[in-house]
Amino acid sequence: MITIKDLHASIEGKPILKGLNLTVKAGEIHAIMGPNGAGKSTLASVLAGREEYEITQGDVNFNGVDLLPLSVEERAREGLFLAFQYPVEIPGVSNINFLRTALNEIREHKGEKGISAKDFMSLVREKSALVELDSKLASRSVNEGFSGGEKKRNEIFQMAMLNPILSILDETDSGLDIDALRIVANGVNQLKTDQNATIIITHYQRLLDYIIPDFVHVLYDGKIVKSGGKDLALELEEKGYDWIKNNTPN
Amino acid sequence: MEPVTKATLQVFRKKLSPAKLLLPSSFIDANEKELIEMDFPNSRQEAWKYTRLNRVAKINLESTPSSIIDWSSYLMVKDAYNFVFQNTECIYKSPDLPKGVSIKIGEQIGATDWLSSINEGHVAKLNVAHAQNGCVINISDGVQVDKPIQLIFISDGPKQPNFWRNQLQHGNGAKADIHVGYFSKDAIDSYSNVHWSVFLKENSHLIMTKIQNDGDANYHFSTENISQLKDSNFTLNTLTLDGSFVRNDVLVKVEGENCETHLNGAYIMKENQHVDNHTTVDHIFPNCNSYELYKGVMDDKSTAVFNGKVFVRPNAQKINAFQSNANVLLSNDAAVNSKPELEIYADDVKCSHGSTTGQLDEEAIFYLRSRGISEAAARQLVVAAFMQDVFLKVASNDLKSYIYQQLAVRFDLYLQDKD
Ligand SMILES: Nc1ncnc2c1ncn2[C@@H]1O[C@H](COP(=O)(O)OP(=O)(O)OP(=O)(O)O)[C@@H](O)[C@H]1O
Ligand SMILES: [Mg+2]
Repeated sequence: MITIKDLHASIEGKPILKGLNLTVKAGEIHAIMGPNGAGKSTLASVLAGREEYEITQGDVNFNGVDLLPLSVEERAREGLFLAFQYPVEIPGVSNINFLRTALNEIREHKGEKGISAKDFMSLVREKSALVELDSKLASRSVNEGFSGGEKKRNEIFQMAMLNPILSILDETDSGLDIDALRIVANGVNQLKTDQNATIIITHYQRLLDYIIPDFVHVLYDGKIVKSGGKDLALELEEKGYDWIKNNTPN
Repeated sequence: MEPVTKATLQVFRKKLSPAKLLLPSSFIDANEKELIEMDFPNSRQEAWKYTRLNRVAKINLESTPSSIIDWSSYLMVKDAYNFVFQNTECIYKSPDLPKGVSIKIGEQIGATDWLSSINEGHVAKLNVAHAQNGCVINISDGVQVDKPIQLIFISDGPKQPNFWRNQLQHGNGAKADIHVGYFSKDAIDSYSNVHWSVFLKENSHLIMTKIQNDGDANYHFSTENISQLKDSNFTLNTLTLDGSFVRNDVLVKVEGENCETHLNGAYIMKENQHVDNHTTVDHIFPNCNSYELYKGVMDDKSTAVFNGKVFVRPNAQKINAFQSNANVLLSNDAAVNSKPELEIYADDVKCSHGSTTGQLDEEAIFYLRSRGISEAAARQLVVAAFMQDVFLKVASNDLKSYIYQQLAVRFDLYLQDKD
């Protein structure tokens, strides 16, 4: 599904990703952990197409297409979705109106017909129920006045609406209370098929009790320095990142 | 910068026809004498500090006859009582009008149909001296007009001068929604000067929405003088969607208690376009509210001026006056000069004013694009969202859709320009 090879990226001349390799196949869930500032959000941003980053080396193949030359919106239409660590508030832009535009752009890209207002509204009802997002929130301005937890749920709601093939969840668990965490995890699990894949960026092993990853990776200083099964997360929780740092040749 | 000499205004007028509308002698007598003594104001004059008239002063206007155009594509909304002016001619008049509404056009207007009017400054004086066509609308007491009255003014052809003069008298308790559209076609150094005198009688309710959608080579000057009597409610929406040079002068005299005044403006400018909104709300009577909201989006090297004055006269107690001007700059070369002014001579009043200028939220645009929305559409969404509170003041839903549609066109073009 996605193959990242020797990816180097920098911002304002400062290298952040320093030769990152990662392969994710359809049907898999990958977790990426790592200390603050390691480059996890940078990886998510670079994959989503944020233009401030300069890619200095490497390539990314997404579902058979060369991802890096594509614009932000083309990547989304190819089926890439980023749930933001800090979702932005957009006053005056209605959540469901923009989602309908987005969904229709994606469908058009796939050669499908636009969705009718009626079908769209029933999809909104179905998917907002999935993440227990109040339907009133669904129709308000994008994230405006949403609580931290509601913003995160809105991200998963959008993911459910757009049905991407690869979702990258950047610390979707942070700021969620125990119940919300279960709801969000439940949503992600229900959306899981053998056709799509998920990359979960998290600091806490707790989320991985709800969403069982097939692989866990440690991102440290711009590289994946260790990969393993779900037990790696437990081991990290126990030993801390010093354990990785001390075992990483410089 | 060349100095503008007194002769320039006279040279500018050389080929302009004298007024064809029949105006009362009280308008014309002093006007010509004063005009002869006048010239184009220069930038030392406060009201024209950021709007230079050198380029206007140099154009060689000359009216040329043109063949009647297909005006139907200019209608902003379909369901309305329509009147269409093309240069000096009125080319379409709605065959029917509701009971209690009369609209006289051009030669039908007699000198006595004109009520008093204020004609200060060179723009208003030129209008008196050269008014070619226009309308006088009377809405009788108690009449609620069922559909919008829509007036379209089209400037057609190069170097075309247009002087339109209009009046609206709104009866006691009357209610109406007026749409006015200004367009230009095949303009090169063309010039439009339009004047409105509007009188709201007691307890009347009026919404006037003007759409300025001139092409890129027309100089547009627009003057509105409004008088409000007690318990009346007036809204003026000034939406400048396109135009290389636009100057709006709005004066509202609130001449009765318990009035409400809403002045809303939106301007969306690009390239070297320039827009200047000068507004004055004069509170003469107590217990009134006025709300002013102007918002602009400026791209490329475009420039905007906002000058909003609110006067509260000594006896006008218990006035609430709010004024705000907010701008978004899409380019580093765009500029805005914003000056809200309050002059308050009463003590029991609540007034506030504010002015902001910022950038479009690029994070918001990235967010929308990351969901699959094109950059053009994302920009349009965010701009529309910024402008939304102004657009919401436009009463008619049909006119609102027209505005959004124009905005979509504008922002697709915007992106093509950039590529
Ligand atoms: N615009 C920027 N300019 C300069 N440095 C930046 C910029 N954006 C990110 N960085 C730096 O890049 C590094 C990686 O940041 P990133 O956000 O990817 O870390 P992270 O692994 O997601 O951390 P966290 O766990 O705190 O979310 C940090 O040192 C950060 O300061
Ligand atoms: Mg991060």
